[in-house]
Amino acid sequence: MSARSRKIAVTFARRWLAAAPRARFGFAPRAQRRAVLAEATRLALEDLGPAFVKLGQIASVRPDVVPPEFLFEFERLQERVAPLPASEIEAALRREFGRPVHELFADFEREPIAAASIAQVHRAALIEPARPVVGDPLPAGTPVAVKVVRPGAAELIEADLTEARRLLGRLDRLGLRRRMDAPALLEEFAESLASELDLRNEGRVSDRFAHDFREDPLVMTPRIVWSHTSRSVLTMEYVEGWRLTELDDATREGVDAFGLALHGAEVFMRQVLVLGRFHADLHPANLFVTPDSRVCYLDFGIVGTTDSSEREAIAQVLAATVYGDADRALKYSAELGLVVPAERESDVRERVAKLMSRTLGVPGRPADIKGFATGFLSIMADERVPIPAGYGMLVKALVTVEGVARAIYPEIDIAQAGKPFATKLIARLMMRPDRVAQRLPAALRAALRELSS
Amino acid sequence: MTYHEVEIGTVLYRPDLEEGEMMANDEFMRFLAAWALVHETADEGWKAAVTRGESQSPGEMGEGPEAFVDGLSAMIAEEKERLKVSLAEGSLEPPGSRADVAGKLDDLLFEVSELRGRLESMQSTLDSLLAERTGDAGGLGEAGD
Ligand SMILES: Nc1ncnc2c1ncn2[C@@H]1O[C@H](COP(=O)(O)OP(=O)(O)OP(=O)(O)O)[C@@H](O)[C@H]1O
Repeated sequence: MSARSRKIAVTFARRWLAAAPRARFGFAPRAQRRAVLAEATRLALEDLGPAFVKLGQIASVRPDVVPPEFLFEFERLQERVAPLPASEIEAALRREFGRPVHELFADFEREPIAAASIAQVHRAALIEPARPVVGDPLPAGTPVAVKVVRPGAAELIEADLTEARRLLGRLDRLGLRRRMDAPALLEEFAESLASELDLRNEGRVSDRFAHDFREDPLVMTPRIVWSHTSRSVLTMEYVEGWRLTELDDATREGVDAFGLALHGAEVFMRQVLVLGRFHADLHPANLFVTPDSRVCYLDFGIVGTTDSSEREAIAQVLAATVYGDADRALKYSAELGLVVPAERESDVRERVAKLMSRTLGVPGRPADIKGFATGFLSIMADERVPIPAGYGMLVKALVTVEGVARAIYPEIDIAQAGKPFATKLIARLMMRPDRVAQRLPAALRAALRELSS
Repeated sequence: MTYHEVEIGTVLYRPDLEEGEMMANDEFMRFLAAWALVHETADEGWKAAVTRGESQSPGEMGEGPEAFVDGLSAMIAEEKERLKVSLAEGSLEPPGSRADVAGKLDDLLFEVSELRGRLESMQSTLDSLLAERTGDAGGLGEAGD
């Protein structure tokens, strides 16, 4: 066993052992045990550094492989890294572009505005004008954010992944691995980690988003300066504003907070139900409210995709959930791959229905989407129902959207406020004339006949 | 940031199909509104649905499908009034055609611009490789840090 392998094994063992008393050595209720274990695991990941923190962050949007208590715990993963000295970043820029920093940017600020384990961000200004893929040209002097992958980050992560593979291999041979195909999962996560190290991917997703929402005056994304972008450097327009995590009441009063919160939910619905691509890991820290009352999307995380038949099933599940109709919600969930074995069906249906009325249907109280999602995933975990990857991501993303909307406007009930938009969407997606025509007033019925012919 | 595409099903992103495949939200509402306008003549059931729908929040799904339809009817009636106004002002474009072509052009323009972005980024990487090879990196020699 290498020194690093030993460190990894010992770190997990130490954190888990320390948590054991609180889990009452396995006698506590299952959910409570999972919560205690989740916290210990998060701390171990933080102890172990960048590769493990990133793996945890990737896992945090995957309810298909991680129990709900772990999901929300892993969201809190913090990277504790000291920024690299500016000279090292400048040397990296020179290696990337073959020119010294002062020829690349005007006013490159040596103090970073953010430092994470993989990259750090510096402020600078453009020397020459740039033409972005979407939007107006950026004149010389435009402030930019330059995100640079820390030299050596890729090697460090690769080395840690190799150790992790070796450890999992050993567990495998010892027969300790249970329901989960951990090595396959590690490979999948390693793949998304690798694509994260290539910042051009982030730039492309950002451009695509800008294009999809080009007519939407309420959202924006920084324009990318491709002439100053490479695998390990991403240069983009610098955005002024407040992170959602640091919004205070005074700022909220200065902007249309309610409108923005509601719009955030609509943007998400549009992504899922119309465009077929959605952000699966928006963080309030990566969203800005700008002084001109727009929401800026930074840092494009994991992207989920939906095809048109799935979109119809998703609309059905959403509608059924709002109706409080557990039966239909589960029926259409099955179309999305969430299959409850027949012998447990009535049991699950009953539990889901109770959960719905407890979290979503309490008169006079806003719908609690996070509470519903956590409970739902918990039921599935208890009943050992496997959750399809994309389905899980969608559930998690919905919770994130609620969180984002509440960060902007704390009292919002997105299930309620989003209704006019959702109604149109759902109507459009569900109104198969043959199915609903008999319930519709005559004028509408005729219109739908026209529409479908 | 993490970039990773996870598919729910099998069909990946198809820019050519997705927009055209379905009517946009507002277009759908406008179509229904236009129909309601043209066929306004005494449909008592429709009027009753609108009246019932106006007294509740739109698409009142918690109250069941009937209420949902009433709420939707009320929204369509509102849309119909807007349509009437813009018809009266003569500010209405023929639906579809022009906007359609503009959308397709936009998509094409985006793809071309995207390509340009990629080329620019490749160009700068190429420049740095060339600079390294010829040794005149305009700075490699003066590396003082
Ligand atoms: N275009 C920008 N304008 C202004 N600030 C920016 C910009 N890009 C990044 N930042 C700042 O840098 C921080 C880190 O950026 P980003 O989230 O892209 O990095 P990261 O390394 O992917 O971090 P993480 O994945 O932990 O969120 C942001 O939270 C923001 O404060």
